[in-house]
Amino acid sequence: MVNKNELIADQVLKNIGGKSNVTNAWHCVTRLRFNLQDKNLVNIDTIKQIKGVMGAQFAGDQFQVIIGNTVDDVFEAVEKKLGGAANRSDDQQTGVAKEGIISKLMDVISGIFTPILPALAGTGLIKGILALVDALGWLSDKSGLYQAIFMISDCVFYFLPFFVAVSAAKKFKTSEYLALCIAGIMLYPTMITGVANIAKGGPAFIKLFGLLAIPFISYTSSVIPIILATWFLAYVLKWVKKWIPSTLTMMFTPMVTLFIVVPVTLIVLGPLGTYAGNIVADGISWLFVHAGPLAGVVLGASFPLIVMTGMHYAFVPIVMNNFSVTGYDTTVMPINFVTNMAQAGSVFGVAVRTKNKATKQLAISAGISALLGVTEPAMYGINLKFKKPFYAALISGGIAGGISGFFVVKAFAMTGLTGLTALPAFISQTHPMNLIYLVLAIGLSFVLAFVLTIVFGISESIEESAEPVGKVQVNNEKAIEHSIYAPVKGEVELLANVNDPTFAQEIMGKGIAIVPESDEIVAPISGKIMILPDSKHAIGILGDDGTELLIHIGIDTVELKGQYFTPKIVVNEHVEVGQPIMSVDFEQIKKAGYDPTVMVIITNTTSFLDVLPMNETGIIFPKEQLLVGIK
Amino acid sequence: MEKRDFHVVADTGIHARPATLLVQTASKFNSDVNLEYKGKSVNLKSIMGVMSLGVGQGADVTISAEGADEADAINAIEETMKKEGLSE
Repeated sequence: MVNKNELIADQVLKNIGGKSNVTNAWHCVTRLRFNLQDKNLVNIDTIKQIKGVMGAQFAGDQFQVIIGNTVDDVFEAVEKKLGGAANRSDDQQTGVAKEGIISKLMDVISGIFTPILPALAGTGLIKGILALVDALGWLSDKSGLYQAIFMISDCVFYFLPFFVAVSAAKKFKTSEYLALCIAGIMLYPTMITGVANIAKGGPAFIKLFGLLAIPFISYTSSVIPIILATWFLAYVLKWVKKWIPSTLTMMFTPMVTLFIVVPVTLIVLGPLGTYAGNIVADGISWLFVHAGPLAGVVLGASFPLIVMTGMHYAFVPIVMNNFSVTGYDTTVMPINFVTNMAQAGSVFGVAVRTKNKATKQLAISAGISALLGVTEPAMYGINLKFKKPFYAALISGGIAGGISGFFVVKAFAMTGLTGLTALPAFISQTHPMNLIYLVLAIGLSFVLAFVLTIVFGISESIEESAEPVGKVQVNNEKAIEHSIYAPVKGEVELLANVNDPTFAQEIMGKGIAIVPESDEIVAPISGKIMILPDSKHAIGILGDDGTELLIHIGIDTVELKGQYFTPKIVVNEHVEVGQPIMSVDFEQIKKAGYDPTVMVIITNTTSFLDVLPMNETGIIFPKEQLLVGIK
Repeated sequence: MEKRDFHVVADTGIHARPATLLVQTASKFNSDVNLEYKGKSVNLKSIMGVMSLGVGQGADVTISAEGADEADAINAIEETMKKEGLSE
């Protein structure tokens, strides 16, 4: 008899490019998870059709096959066929991709930008059009209308660290609000006016204890410093939570965390990019003096990377100096123009290549913005995500940059944006050929990036992963979501962090924990009360939709034998979402030496495809969505 | 069908943790496994079912298994009951 699980394992392996394509395999409660050498070998649609497979999806650089509650047995069969390559652990960290650091960083950045894109693409387009009407002289930049629209167009760019903070916090699974706090400190008026005052001879930094210095740096529009800070925050917060007693955690954890993360950010992580930028800027301006075309190649190929790290601010003084000394700039202005057109070329290439309508639409709008000099939507939203178009843009920018350097293309005026609207800045009576050289360079840059992107192609499998992260893509279109709402006000915590292995290891089922901040427990779903033991520390509800839910109040509180628990319902009673079901004296429970954490567990997890928390951190209020179970 | 009676000695009865362990044990077998207490019978493969009985200290329960591996199932459950100190 052929074993059913072996059959599934065979078919899955065949359709992910054979076992030689698997670099790592492991599983969680419902899914087989793979790291693959070549994602293009996956026949995702065939896999979804396999009997016994409920769905399949790419999540980052993982390929996941949703099996359901027999995943253990199927994995065993997979493991047998793979030999040594499989990894039994269900710890995601062991599956860390073998892709290079640059590639991983690109994944992180594009992942962080995906949720921000609507805001970025919308305002980017306004910014570009505004530059156009200004250049055409239809609207003076002194007019009220211009200023009002400018506010709309610039806000996402100016306050980019705030947007990145939220996304990055979600990506690194840490507190969004503490990340926002750090972004707020970076953009606090003290910093902004500090930067402005440097030009007027003010101090360049804030001195602490006479030896540490917080340099005034313009963090507006910066990306990498806040990503680094949030990444650091994730580790510090976890570490601080570990040793602060749980009764003090509300008050002291954020405070201690910020006191560690903020100084490190402002003194080390943030300035890192700026200091590195100064070195890079000095090196490149030296190169422009001694070997123009080579400098053009280097800067053209690296400028998008320089912008990403925020190092381009270091070039501003050089450009200003060029204008005051020679009356024109041959460095950043023309090269930035060239590299912007390369990003535009690549993103239009993606628009032609993609079969996904949403990607096409986004690529076209990002392309128009890029032509007008606003490249963030194109770069972060499209080119970085598909990687190859980004490389195409770097290559084309390098080649066209070299041409610009060879002809010593000059910008005669500073413009806010270096897109097509900046063309007039390159017109000069004394250098009539200048504009032609420039058009040659930017035209080549655009066309080359466009053609290279089409030739390199884009991996459609990556396009699959463009689906919003976290939503499970299921074979059956009618996947039903079952919502579970918060039973008590408090701070959400992952079950894995709960101090009781039965819950932490999800032996009873998947769910989430809440550190309670109120004494009233309400029903998280509508259904019938099934469990109310004499010890009253747990309540079981059989939901009207079939969800079996257990609310376990406190750890080891069964030992209290009902003391401090006042139920407001009886067994077999029907309750509605939000109806008070229990009042608990958490103060007394804590005094008695028990951990008050409330666990909400779906005990029939195995009849769901997956159970996902809506939020993994932060304060939640009763009746807010807490968990979603997918059937 | 295999049947066995147990006298629950644990202070806290069959609460969350032991219930989970019993359900885990029962779920390893193909046989239908039921737990009977005070005339009510529930599926021993459902945490909700087992906990809804509210089996406390001193309770007498009957566990029955029916299927190809019924003998193995009952033996495994008895082992879990003893290992967890639920019964003697």
